[in-house]
Amino acid sequence: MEEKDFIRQLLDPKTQNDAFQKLLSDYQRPLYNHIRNIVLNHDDADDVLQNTFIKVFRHLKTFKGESKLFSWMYRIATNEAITFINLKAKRNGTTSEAMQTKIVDNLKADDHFDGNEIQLKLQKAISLLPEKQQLVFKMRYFEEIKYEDMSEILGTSVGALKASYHHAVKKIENYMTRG
Amino acid sequence: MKEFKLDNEPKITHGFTNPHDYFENFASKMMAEVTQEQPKAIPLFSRKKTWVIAAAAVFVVALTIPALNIYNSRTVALDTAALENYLATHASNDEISELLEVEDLQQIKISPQIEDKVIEDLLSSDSNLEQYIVD
Repeated sequence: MEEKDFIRQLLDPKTQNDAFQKLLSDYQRPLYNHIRNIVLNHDDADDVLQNTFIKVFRHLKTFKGESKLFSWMYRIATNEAITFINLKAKRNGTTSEAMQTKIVDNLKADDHFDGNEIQLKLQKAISLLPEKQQLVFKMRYFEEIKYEDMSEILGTSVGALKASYHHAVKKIENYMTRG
Repeated sequence: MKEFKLDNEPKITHGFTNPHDYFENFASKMMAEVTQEQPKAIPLFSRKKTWVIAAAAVFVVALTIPALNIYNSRTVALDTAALENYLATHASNDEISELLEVEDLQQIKISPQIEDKVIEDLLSSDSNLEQYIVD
């Protein structure tokens, strides 16, 4: 089905429920993974995912179709996740960087993390990167999002994203070798 | 020391997991949430509501009728008084007499208490006395 037709179905009250169920079915897993990569904790990811879909539902009318539907939804998810961790850090009287480092240090004890030593070390290496580089690396390496799509989601040029990923990889490789 | 090269290593996944049936439950939860968000259809025509509105309209009109009467009567009273004052100050006797009908004149009852001597003096001073007698 063409995206325009699908959006029409999402906006039509007669077909909205069925269309939204399809939207959930198609996007809940990739969006959850994307959000989880940012917030790290399952319960937080669950909260943010709900907020994301509610926002998508409420603002469907304003979606102009200038970007792909999936880019628009990912953008909402990214903003919701970053806002969430910033708010959580503020409530705890700390920075988002410090908070994420603490979460990663305690990942081994997390019920919803079953990674091995290499996976743990990689998460630690990523947590030491600047915020934007972390995001770019996770979207490219874990989620395998194309640079062109990433550019639409993050509003950054493909060139800048490639450069960001290259720097992130160098730092991670350095940490994984020596750290 | 062996250099770690990301591209040379097998793909490392993030290691995150989620509860069993998480996505099935999530979908149901979200559908319930957005169904609550949908605006309820309000019928344009509701018989019960129409009767209530009609009854209320009749009640309001019924209340305004006495109020309108009071307003009108006051207006008539005010206009008559204002009109009399205006005529007294702005209209001449000739203009007033033109406005009066024969019936109006017959209704005017004047019983002046004037002495005959005063009438004689008045008539003798009027140069049209002979004409009045002829007419």
